[in-house]
Amino acid sequence: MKHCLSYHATLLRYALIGLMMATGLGISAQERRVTPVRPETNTVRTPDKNLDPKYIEQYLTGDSLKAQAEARKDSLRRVYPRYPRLTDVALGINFIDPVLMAFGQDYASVDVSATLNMWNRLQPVVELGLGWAKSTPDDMNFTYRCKPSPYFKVGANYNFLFKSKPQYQVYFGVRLGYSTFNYEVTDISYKNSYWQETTSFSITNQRSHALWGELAAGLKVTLFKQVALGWSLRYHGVFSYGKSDNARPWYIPGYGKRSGSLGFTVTAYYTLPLSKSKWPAVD
Amino acid sequence: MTRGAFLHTAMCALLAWTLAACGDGSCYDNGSSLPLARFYESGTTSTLTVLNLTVKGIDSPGDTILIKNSSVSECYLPLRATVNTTQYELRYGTEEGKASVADTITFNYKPVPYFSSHECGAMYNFEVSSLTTTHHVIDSVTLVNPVITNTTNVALRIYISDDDTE
Repeated sequence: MKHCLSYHATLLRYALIGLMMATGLGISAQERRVTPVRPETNTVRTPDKNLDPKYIEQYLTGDSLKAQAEARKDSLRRVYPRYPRLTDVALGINFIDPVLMAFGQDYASVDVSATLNMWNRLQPVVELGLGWAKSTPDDMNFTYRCKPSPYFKVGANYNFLFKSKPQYQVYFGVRLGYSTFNYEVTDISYKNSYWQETTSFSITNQRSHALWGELAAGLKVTLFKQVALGWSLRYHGVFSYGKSDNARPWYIPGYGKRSGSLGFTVTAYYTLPLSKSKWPAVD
Repeated sequence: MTRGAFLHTAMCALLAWTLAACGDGSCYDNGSSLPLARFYESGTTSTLTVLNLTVKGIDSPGDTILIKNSSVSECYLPLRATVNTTQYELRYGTEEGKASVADTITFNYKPVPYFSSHECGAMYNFEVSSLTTTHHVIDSVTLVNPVITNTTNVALRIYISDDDTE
């Protein structure tokens, strides 16, 4: 009996709910109206001036999300031209030291370099060279000689003008250099004035090595076609070097005077463009 | 450390590093390896001045005197490069009527050719194997470093007996 009453109450509840919903729908259908458009908000947005017509087409056909994304990419390409990963390779020769030697410098380093330009921005560099020295300073008692000895440097440049053409570059770079070399100090005249003794001797067969780091800042300008000229100013410091009981090296190939902290290069480049068809059109 | 203090410290370190790397091509050491001897009171680290001291190398050419009857607290004692032994006589001034007293310091060493730098030049360093002295006034002598180089640091400490210090 109790079950029966409960069953009927449930039926009645569902019936009432159904009646209310039917009545409500009827009322809302009758009251539905179109909201009038106010003239001040009814503006027509015109496409950007530089927008490709194909994106406008996409807007008109209703694919606005895709159109927005592609338009954004296109805008970025114009502001931030993207060069291919392998933009070019520059082969260089640093020739300033032999020129300075003609004006009295006691040492020289000559090197060839290969610079891979990636995205016209990051540029791994390898430099291989020979350095030598011969010095007989005035008012001193020796001649210092370092036979032509090899050195190499590895590092990278960062081109600040990456948005511009690769023909013009202003860069900051780092290098790690290493050299192994022989040197000798000859024609030494040693005078002890108190004991009135003068002796002559030489320090030969001195073998050494050096590891150093450099910070470089420079620029490179293409003069005609694929030939460019550039210079760099380098601040460097020796991390370690070999010394013996008899001597410490004065000159380090590729570095210069061990006690010095500044270097300068002037380099002529021959540039080989890579993937030139993928280079963006840059003004 | 605050941000400002960190920036200040970093900038000072950068300045010091860049300045330290700038050499001006001068020699700040000696042009020869000369042992610098300094006098101390025996058993202390107090330096003293020896009055009326005369220093002379034994067998020096023409008996040349290095220091003549002067009051000194330190002096250079140049070593010979052609032999392995150098001796110096230190003669002390005394009261009138009394005989003067002298000590002899003997260096035994090996001269080693050495190229110091482009600015300071080439010279001999001296690897000292033994150092002896008589003990009239000197209590003891000690070598700071067994290799005498061209640095301007004190190489030899000469300790004077308590009885003779004033």
